[in-house]
Amino acid sequence: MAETTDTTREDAGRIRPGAAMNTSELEAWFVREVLPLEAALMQFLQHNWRNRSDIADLRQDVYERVCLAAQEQAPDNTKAFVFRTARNLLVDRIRREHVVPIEAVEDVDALSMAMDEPGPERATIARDELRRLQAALDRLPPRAREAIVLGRIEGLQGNEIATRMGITEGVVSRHLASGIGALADMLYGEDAKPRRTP
Amino acid sequence: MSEGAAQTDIAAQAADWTQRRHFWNWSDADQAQLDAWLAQSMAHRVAYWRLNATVERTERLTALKPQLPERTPFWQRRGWTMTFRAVAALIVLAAIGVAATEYASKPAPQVFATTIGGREVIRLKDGSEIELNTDTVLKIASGASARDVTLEKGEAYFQIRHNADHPFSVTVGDHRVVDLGTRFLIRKDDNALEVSLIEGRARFDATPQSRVARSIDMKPGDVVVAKNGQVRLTRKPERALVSQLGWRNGVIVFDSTQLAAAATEFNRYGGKRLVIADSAAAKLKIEGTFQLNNVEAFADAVQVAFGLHVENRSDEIRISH
Repeated sequence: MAETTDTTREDAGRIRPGAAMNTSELEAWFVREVLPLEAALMQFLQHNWRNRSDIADLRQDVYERVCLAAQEQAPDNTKAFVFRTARNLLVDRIRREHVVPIEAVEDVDALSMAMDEPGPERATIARDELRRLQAALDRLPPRAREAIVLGRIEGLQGNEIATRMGITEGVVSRHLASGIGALADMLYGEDAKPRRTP
Repeated sequence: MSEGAAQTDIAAQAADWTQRRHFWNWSDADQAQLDAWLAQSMAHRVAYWRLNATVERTERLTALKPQLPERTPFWQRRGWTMTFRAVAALIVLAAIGVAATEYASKPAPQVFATTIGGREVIRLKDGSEIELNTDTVLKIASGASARDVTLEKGEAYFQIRHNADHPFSVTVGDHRVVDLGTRFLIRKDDNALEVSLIEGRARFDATPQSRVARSIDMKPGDVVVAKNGQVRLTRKPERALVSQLGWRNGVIVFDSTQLAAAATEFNRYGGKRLVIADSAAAKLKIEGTFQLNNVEAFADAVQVAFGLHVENRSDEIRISH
């Protein structure tokens, strides 16, 4: 059995700060280093932007800006870079839309420092992930949950899911798409719940 | 930079691509279309990457889920039915919910056996739990030494409450595992013994009667394999360890597993016998999570994935090119 640990694999894929990234490096970097910041980023955005219905779009704008910059040059501190980008984005929006005074945007450096607590150990993360995924699935709308569970656990294809659920393939697609979106918001956009002992 | 409305549309398109990619037949032409869409803008790419990563996270984690959605009530599932028929007396006790805690309190050594396809959880008085997989025989000594068990054959997962005065020990053939507060898995096949430590600490050594002399203090992630008189220590990532425990949730998890080995796994659980009829097919590697009592679904997946020929006979399923 010649397994390697996750840690070694991850270290091997680490990007040098300052280097340009190709598309697959950029995707790996984004998933590994940016997405885990989403819960904190959402907090920051919600705290600094009144209109809740804009938040998801703002988040995507931040990701777009961050990745456009990072493909030219990987930042040496991803977290600081993401929050600086978020702040700049809000400031741009405020200037353009004259909605709130500029001072309303908090000092991002202080904020990102405050959020910079060490994460749990990798092993703990792996264990907590199970509970998180279960909890996220449980919170999906029932039909979306059913479609995703049939696909993931029973390995059914979309057309089989449609037959099993007695709905059209188009409706299955919509359930799956909305379910995936909601899962992303829960798995990345929300803080991991504190662990409970049974 | 994209405007709000555009981002919302992009998110919807990315979600549609993601579900098509992961849940429907996916051709090279589909991939080319997706690639073209991704190439259009960074906004497309980040939206898709985020959702794709989400689905990949669920793929990796599905096997670990503590509860499967219950399609069939547990008492109607094949494994349970067989177990329950075999130990009819226990049904009544289990049904009123008192059997579990009393199992280990009787005077004589007790034997717990699961049938092929069966599964059973034993709760000890001290709060420890032992979960038996298919075709397993476990003996528990009585009284004060209730923390001495013997695994005769099969596979069992132990979650042990530590007690320094009464260490918990599992004897398997010539070997013994003594826990120091721990969760571990032991699997005994005809010719090999494998002990995987998930959490805590344990000591692997020889029984006093045997001549095998190697003693190993195990840390989480350690896997000890004893085979043909040799004892070997390796390590596995947590992901692999937890995959090995899929049976507790009624699933088998394959991670780059050859079809031949996959068939062996399925055949442990009874049901229709899976036969890989040619050696080239036997070497194909598969990945995924399957219900362990649904070999037909597995065969279907293999047929779709590799275009193999699947012949579903009354007593067996033959897979060939």
